[in-house]
Amino acid sequence: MTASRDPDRLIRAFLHEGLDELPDPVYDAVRDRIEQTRQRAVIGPWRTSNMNRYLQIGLAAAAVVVIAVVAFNLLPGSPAPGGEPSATPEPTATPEPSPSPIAAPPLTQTFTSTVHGISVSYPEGWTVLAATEPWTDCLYCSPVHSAPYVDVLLHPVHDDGLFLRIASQPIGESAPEDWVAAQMATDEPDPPLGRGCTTTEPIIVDGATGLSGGDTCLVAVVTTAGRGYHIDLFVSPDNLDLVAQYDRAWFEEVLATVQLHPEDAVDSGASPSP
Amino acid sequence: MEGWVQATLVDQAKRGDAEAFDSLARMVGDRCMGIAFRILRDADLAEDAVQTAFITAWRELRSLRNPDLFEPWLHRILTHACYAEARHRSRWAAGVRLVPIEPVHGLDNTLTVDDRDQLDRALRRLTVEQRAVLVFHHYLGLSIAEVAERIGIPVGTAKSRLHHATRAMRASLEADARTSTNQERMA
Repeated sequence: MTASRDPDRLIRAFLHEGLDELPDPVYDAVRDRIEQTRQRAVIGPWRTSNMNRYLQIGLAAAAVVVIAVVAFNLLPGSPAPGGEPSATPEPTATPEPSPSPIAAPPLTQTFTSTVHGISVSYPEGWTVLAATEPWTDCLYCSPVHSAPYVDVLLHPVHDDGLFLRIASQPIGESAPEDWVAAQMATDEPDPPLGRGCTTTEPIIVDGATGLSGGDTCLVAVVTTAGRGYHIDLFVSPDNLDLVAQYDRAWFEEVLATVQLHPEDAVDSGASPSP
Repeated sequence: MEGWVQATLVDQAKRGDAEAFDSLARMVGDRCMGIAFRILRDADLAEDAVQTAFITAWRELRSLRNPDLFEPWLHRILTHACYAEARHRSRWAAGVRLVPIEPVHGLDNTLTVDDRDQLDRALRRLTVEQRAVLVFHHYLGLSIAEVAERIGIPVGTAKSRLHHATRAMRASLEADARTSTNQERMA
C-alpha cells in the first residue's frame, strides 16, 4: 500500500462492502412477534378536562342527591313507593362481598444501581437488567428502553408490559428546572419513547425535587447535587389487570423506597455531553 | 412515490395493521441490516438488532407523529438496539459468522486484502457509539448534523466521535503502509 492513497476513500469503500440483505426468516420472526405484541397506547389530551368547575360541582351534588333518594327508598323499613310498609319484613339475603382487586406484591427486594447511584425496592421474583455504562448520550434525550445505560426491573411474566426503568446523568451546567423540563417535555420531535405526559406535578423523591407525570403517566424526574434522575414505570394499558394493580399509588410506594446516592454514580468523564 | 407509500403504510400500521407493518419492514429491512452489520461487524448480532428494532418500532409506532419521518425514527431505535446487542460481546468470540465480502467497484476498487484486514481490526477497536457515527456518515452519506439528529446526540458529540473514529482508522492504514514500506526495504 502506498501513502498516496486517500484513507478517507478507502474507509468509505470498506464501509460499502458487506451484508446488505436482511434474510427472510428475520421478517417472518418479526411478523410472528408483532402478532403477539400490542402497540403501546399514546395517552392523549382526553385526560385534561375542559368542563367548567362550577358545572362539575353541580353535577357531583346532583349525583349525591339522586343516590341518597334511591338508597332511602330501598332501605328495609322504609315505605314502599305508593304503599304501606309491610308488618313483617322479608328476610334479606346477605350481599356477596364484591371481589377486591388483587393487590400488587410487596416491595421486599432492594436493587442498588452501581452505575446510577440509587437504590430502590421492588417485588420478589422480578428480573433486574442492570445498566453497564453511564448515560452520556445527550442531556436532553429521554432514556431509551433497552439502552445499556438504563437499569430495568422487569415483571417475571409480563416482562414486555410491566417494567421499572432508572437512569441518571450529571446535569452539567443546565439549571435543574431546565433539565427536568426537558425530560418531561412532550414536544421532542418524534422521540422513540416520548414521555407523553400531558400534565405534570411537583414531586420530591428522597429529598430531591422535580416533576412527576400527572394521573396515569408514571414518571418521576428529579435532580439533586448536580445529578438528574429519571424513574418511570411502564404498565401496558392493554392489560387491565396490570393497570389496576400497578397504579399510581404503587408507583409512589416504590418512589418512597428510593434512596439517592449521587456521589456513588459512575460517569465516563468529568463533564457530560453538552 | 416510495415516500408516499411508506407514509401510507405507517398510517395503516399505526392503526394496528400487521400486514402493513410487514410491508413497511420489507421496504426498509435491507438498509437496516446494512447499518446494523456495519456497526456490529457480526451478521447474527445485526439480525437480532434489526429484529429488536422492528418490534420496538411496532410497539411504539403510535408515538410517531410524522409518518414521513418513519425511517430516521427507526434508525434511531436501531442504533440503540445495536448498542444493546453490543453488550453481548461474549458471543463475538464464541462464534462469529464469517461473511464473504464482495468488492464494490466504482467507489474505490483498490482495497487490498491487507486494507480490509487493517480496517476491520481498526473498526472493531472503536466503541460501538463511534462506529455508529462512522457508519451513518460514510455508509448512508449523512452530514454530521444529520447523523446527530438521527442518532439523537448533540452535534458536538457526533463531531467528536467521528473525529476519533476517523483518526483511528487512518492511523491503522498508515501503520500498515509504514510496515509494508519497511518490508520492501528489507527485501
